[in-house]
Amino acid sequence: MARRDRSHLTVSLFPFLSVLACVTGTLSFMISGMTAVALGDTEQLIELTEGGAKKTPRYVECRSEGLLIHPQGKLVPLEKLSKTPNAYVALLTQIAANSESQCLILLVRPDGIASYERSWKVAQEFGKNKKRPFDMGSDAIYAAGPIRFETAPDPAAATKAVDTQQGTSK
Amino acid sequence: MTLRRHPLPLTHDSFLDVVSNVVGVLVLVAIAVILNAKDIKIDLGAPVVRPPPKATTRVIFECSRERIFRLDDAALHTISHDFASRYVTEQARTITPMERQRLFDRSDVGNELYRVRIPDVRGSSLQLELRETAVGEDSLQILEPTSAYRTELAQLSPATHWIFFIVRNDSFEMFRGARQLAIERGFSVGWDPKQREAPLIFGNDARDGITAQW
Repeated sequence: MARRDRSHLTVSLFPFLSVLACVTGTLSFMISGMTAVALGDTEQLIELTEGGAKKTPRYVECRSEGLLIHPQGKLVPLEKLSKTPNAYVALLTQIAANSESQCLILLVRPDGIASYERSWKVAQEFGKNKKRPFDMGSDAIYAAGPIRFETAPDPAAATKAVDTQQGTSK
Repeated sequence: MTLRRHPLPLTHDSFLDVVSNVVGVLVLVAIAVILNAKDIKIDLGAPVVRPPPKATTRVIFECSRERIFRLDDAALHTISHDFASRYVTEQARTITPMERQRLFDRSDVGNELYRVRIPDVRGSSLQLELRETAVGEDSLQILEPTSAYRTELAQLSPATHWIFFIVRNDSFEMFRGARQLAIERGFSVGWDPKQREAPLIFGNDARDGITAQW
């Protein structure tokens, strides 16, 4: 009986290679997906520092398509901004009626500058016409991602913080 | 005598090496992506506008093309005034507003960063155009101790100056970095966002209506 020649038996790494190829494919897919999510949907957390909330801010986001009023999430298209009544003018009316405790903050996205210019002008004229000027301001936000707000701190505590800060720094 | 040649075996070892390395790198990339996939935080300080501090002078920077440039409006006004005066002296006659506008169109008036034009024949305002050749500094360069922006801030005092940023829509990131540095040094700051192509027109009364926020 002939004996088998065992010297030609080798370990094949081909199955291991195919497993590795599958892992590579899966990882590439995962990384692409996560990068797309990270770039597109990263939330912007708006935080008020101690000096920022002397009055309760009412936020309006200036986007390319119009104004997004927070926290209701109501969108006022740019072409409807000059037509009254609209949600933005309603918000201005509320702020003007409570100008001692509220202020308007426009959050400007890079593609929302046209909306910002229009809404700023409307707000300024509104304050002048009603003879009830109110505080307003603006800040730059990033292009991508929805906005999440932190609960505004207690206005009374914030006022105290502002006074302290001004007393020490200026 | 003949030599018996064994066929060379096909080995996957080197290919396997490469694939293993690729997998290792991808695992590291995946870990990095997971660690970085967190929310962007934006701190709102006190963005309500208010008049700038009394007895302070405005210093303007323009954030454009993801870089920052010093816009010295007072110096540009002086340069354009001197240029027009010199021309009048050389010609030994007065010039009409229309001639003045054409003169500024024909000649390259300004400094190394901005060119000056006359946007309105009837007015005294100036249109300041950022030159294509202007270099400025990017958001990483301003972090270096030797940066021109930092040097400029170091020469100013919060007691006598406040900083105003004109921000183009391509340079919000640049603006946030530059503003942070100015606030850290105690300056009051203000900003105005502008479309990429919107002209910068400065009149003699340009100081009115521009407000600070911090």
